[in-house]
Amino acid sequence: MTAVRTPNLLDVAGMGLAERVARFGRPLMKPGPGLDPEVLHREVLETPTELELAGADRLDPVDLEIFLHKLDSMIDDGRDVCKYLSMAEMLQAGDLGVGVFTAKGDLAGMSTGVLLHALLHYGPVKYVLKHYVDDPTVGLADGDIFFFNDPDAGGVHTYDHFLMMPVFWESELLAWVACGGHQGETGSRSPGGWSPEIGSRYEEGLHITPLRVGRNFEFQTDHLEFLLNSVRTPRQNSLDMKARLAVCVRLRQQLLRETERRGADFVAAGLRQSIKISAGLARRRIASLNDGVYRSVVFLDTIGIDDGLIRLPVEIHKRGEELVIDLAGASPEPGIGPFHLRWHLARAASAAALFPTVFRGLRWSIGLFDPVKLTAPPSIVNAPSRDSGTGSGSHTGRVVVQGLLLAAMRMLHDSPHRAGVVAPFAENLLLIGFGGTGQYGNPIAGGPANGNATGQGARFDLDGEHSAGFFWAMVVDCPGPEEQERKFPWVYLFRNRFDRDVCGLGRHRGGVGLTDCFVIHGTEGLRFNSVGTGSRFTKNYGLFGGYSGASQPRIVVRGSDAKALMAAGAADLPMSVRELADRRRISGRYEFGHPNIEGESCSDGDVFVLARGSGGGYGDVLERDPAAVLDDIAAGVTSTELAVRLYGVVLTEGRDRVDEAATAARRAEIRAERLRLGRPYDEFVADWSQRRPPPEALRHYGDYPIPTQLIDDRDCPDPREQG
Amino acid sequence: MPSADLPPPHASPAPSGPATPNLLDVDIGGTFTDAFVVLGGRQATGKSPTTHADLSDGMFAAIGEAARRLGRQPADAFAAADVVKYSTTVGTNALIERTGPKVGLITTAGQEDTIHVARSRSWADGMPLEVQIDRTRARRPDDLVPRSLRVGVRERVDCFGTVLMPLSADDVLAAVDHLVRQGVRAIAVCLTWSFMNPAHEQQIREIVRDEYPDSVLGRCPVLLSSEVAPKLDEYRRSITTILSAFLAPDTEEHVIDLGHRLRSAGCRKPLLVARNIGGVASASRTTALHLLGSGPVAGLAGAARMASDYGLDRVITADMGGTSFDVGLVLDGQDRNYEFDPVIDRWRVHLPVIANYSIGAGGGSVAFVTDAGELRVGPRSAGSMPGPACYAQGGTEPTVTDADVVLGYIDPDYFLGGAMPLSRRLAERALRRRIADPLGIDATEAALRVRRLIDGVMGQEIYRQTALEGHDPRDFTMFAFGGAGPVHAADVAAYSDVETVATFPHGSELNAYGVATMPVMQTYERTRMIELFDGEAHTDAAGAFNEMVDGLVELAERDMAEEGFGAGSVALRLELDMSYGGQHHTVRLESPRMRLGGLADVAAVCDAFNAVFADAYGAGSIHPYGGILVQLFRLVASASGSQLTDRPRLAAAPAAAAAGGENRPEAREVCWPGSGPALTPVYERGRLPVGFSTEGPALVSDVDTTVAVPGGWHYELDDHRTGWLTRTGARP
Repeated sequence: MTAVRTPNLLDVAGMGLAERVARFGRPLMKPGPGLDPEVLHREVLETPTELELAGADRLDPVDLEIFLHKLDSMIDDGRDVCKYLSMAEMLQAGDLGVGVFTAKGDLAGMSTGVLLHALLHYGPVKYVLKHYVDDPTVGLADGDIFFFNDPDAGGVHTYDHFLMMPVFWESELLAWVACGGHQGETGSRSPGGWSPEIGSRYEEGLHITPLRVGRNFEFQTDHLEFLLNSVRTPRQNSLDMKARLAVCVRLRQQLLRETERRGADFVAAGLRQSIKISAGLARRRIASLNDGVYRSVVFLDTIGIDDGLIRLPVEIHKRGEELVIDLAGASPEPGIGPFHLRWHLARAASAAALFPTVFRGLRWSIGLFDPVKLTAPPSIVNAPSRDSGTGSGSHTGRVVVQGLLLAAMRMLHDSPHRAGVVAPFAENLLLIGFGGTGQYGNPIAGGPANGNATGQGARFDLDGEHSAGFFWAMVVDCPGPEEQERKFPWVYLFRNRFDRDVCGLGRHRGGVGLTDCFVIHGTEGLRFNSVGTGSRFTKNYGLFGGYSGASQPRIVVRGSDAKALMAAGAADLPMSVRELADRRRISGRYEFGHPNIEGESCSDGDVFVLARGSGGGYGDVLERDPAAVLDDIAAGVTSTELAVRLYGVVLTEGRDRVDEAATAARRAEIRAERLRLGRPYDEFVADWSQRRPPPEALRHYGDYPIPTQLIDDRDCPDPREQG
Repeated sequence: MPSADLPPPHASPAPSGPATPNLLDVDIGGTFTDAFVVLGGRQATGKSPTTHADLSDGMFAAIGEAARRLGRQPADAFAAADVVKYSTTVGTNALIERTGPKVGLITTAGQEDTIHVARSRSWADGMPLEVQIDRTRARRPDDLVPRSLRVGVRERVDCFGTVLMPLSADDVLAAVDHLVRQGVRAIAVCLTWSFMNPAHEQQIREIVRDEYPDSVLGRCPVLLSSEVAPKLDEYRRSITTILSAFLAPDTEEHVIDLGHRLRSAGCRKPLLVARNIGGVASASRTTALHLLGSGPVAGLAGAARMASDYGLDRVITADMGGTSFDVGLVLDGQDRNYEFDPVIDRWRVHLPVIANYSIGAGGGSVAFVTDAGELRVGPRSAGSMPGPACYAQGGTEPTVTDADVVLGYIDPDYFLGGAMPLSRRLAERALRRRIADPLGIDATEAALRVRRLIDGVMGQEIYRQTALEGHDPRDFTMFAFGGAGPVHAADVAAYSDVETVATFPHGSELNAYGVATMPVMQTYERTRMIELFDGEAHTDAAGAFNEMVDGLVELAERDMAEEGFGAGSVALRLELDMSYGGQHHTVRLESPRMRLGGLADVAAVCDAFNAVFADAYGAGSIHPYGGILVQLFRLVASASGSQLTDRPRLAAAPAAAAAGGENRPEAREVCWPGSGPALTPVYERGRLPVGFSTEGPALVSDVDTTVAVPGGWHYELDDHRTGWLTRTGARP
């Protein structure tokens, strides 16, 4: 008989790290139908299968290298095919992931694209293996096709759709393949996804835990029609489902061909070995870094349905060859809005910070997580409630990752791997989705993938590149204006023209992201949602004294005369956000707001401005080479006024050269001013501690300045105490 | 071994039939210039080092050598020539070294940074995979046109081609004035949606001509994107237009100089230029961009001709030289497989470039051990200076050639026919210090691993271009070229599932031979979205479809007439890039109908598309329910039945050589993967009789290469001296 324990409230702040890892190093969400948190936090490598053991002796280093090279080729091909065959803009732009897994569901190889996709899909694979294989009403057979999109089951948010397929060799389960990405339309309460104002998950559309939608490599019509009937764009979703299936079938065929050539044991052992190699290399890499605790604190400025500060601290505890990422001290679970993050998404998200920097140059697989543990007490970053909306959990994840990156860069700077030091990629992402009738009279539901052209953070030795990619993804495209104007009913007033003074400044500056300004054209019936963060409190952080990239609001000009001005050939149409907002040459009702809005309508002639964010800077602005500032002015990304005011760089009268004497004088002046403003540390802390954000900014914050985290230990037992 | 009625390239005289014109065909490569000459029905090849200071020197030397082999004076050859054609890599240098003219760009206001934004991740374009995934260290190339030379003008057209905002003439004048003051020597114009409505671009050219005549401005060409690349996507269209302007002066100067010199030498025929989009054309109808990579495309054309004559419908060409491994496909006797989304240097362009893929793997590829203790080979090459360690030119890094020397595949005393002795000791030392010691193995094992790894990587590239493109590699025959090609061909083939390999004597002259086989050809493209199936029924799209085709045919007939070919001698082929619904990606197919007569014809085109799509991506991926669209029309016009297209057929081997000679092999120790060292017979190819065959392991040496025949492979020499390797054993 199990003894009933009395409630015992534990203060997280008083716990040691080992206890926090034991209690909170796993998803704290409650189990549910199709949802089993246990499978989401297994050790990185399951115990080997007999086939994997049998093949282990056959792997020599060269054979394995060639096999992994081929595996990566197959996966990259799968990514390309998914892009080519899909219809949703985000998928065409590469907002997707493809993965190959061992028979027990460990990720052995993954595509470029959005890293966290494949890093989550072990969840549904392991769920099927644990719960369905032996269930006679489900089972598992060659040719089965499973669909899933529930973030709690190992998806990202409901707007991302995935397929997975087992790979059998003769009668033996050899591997799994999975593929998918951002679909957009998912039958949520607003067209095209992104519903920032939801109260709970039940307004976020379909939540499909692993569901067999096909047998014998074909969709079952009834299952497919159920899914398509649940969304507003059945034609698009149908095509994209076929694209995913084509990728899974192709990957399966290629794996089987390799099996035919080399043997099933070789392939099975090769997949397993790929994970072990990554794990070993990750450990070696970590071991080469200085032991210590590295900290940062970052803030979210909205939960979608409401604005306010959310505290997101990150600590990296580095000892020996292991890292612990500790997210204790975060704001509590708000319970409303879509910004709740689950543990497994937080861990997968950490790849966006760690893989390109700390693990730079190592082959990607789940093995890189072998020496990494993540712990997060119940809070917005490890939300326990089943009802919490998670549609924008990835946004919260992004902010956590910004904090992780800032802390990790402190760890990496004094190491042999300094080449990986980079300020955070721009992440004040503003995403927008439209639904309604397009310019051809066609139904549309989706949004432009311009978030794929944000600015890169500065490097320790280089400026960030402009419009270089997407925070989450390594190699993604941003479609051009013509491609988008063909797809969506609008014309750009300006888009591919860099904005001035928006990137993070520093010894090396961040890259500038795109700013879109478009006029709705050729439709009368559109509704839209937008979602994002950072319009009040930027998250494009600078590094080591570098400035942050600017925050950016959403701007809409209703009932504008922009098209009439164009037809008249107006000479002074705005060509930048500042011109638009300051001069108001375009008539209409100007709305400046935070990004999160839902179910609004817009009409022909309305003007939208959506900035995509610029990267943070690195180092002191006064150390920037004046010639580089001059180049920035020529490139249109820095104004002469800002050059003087912040960089201390003065140009000659012709503005084509640096006035070196005046620059030296101006920089001396700035340094003197800094000294004048300088204060003893204790005095600063004493003063700073008296300050407090306004109450409306702290509605969802928890206790200020550090949210208290009292845990009922029955909810988060320490497994060590349970023996 | 396939039967054939014609031999591979060989510098030997033989009748080619009375109708064969006198041909002078030349490929100017980076290192050597090769000539393929047909005079009076007899053929010969010639070779000269490429003379970079004046490329025509090497060209004349190579032609002269070939002429002399035919017992003719070079002057006779020029005077008698009916056709003079060449392929070259000139122009590439202007790109790599940024020595082109200062180009200005006029674009739609608000889009001035298009060529920098590109596709956002374009910093990765043209870079090896390890660079592509290293976003932290991303570096964009310098813009071809800096921001100060990119000027916006007010105007706007929408996706239907409707003018939303008139062009501001004041802006154009201000833009041109600015660019002229900055000293530009060419102006590229790329406006949004200009391929749907080119009126504004044309107005800009008119304004420039009116306001800045040559007498004021000097020669400053204005290139319109709607003419250079009238296709969707302003980034690729801009880059294609800018590159054309950038490369034009060097190329034009070079072509004009060659023409002058040919005329001075007594040649009466115009010079024709091989192009990377296939075929040859007069210099006046060729933009500089068309010459980039035209040599390998010519080689592919030559391979297609040889494949056709051997009755092979699936051939993969594999050319392994010092620094790169180039792969091309010949399908159904055709070399017209386009590269999807081609990248030139670091930029994506709008050109239907014939696919010829290249990776950094060659004899000079450097082997190294990573910090993590993993062996890697390439893509960096030791180049020709210092070259592999065995060259004894100061190189200390081990390369693939060093591994081949240590393992015994390459005879250090007979490299390049003995012209360049190699040092086995230095090769072994480099392998030991850089590979063997860090990995705790001996130098021979290190060499074996280097060889296996590079063979595996090259095999992967073939796998990628075949299996991942929907083909079965087992259906292909590999044509192995290049100095290092035959040394590795069998093992590369084994890694890629290819079962048969052909090796050719004098394979290095393939490009020049290929030029000779290329017909006069013009290609025209237009983006136009036309729905043929709306998800439920075929549409009445015949009118719009035929209107597009008629416009392209009119252009083709006009241009071919100017080239000297009447409509009766011009063959037209219509290619369509098509997709389902809103897919951005398109699949190319040869249209089963040139024009559509009604719904049955519409259905025939849709059926053909479904079939091609299913071939490429599997039957489960076809999706007519999403609608079927034509996105791009491409018309290929080639001259047929004319003197120029009477392609040469290569002569059989001379009877004396074919008759044989001694067949007593020497032997040396070679270390073979999997079986270890073995005393291996070494045959001299030039002395082998027709029909000679042997089982591996064996080596067959030639002046410029060695054919490695591993165990489990059969080697046979046909009557045209093509060596055929056929797998008889298991794969690695």
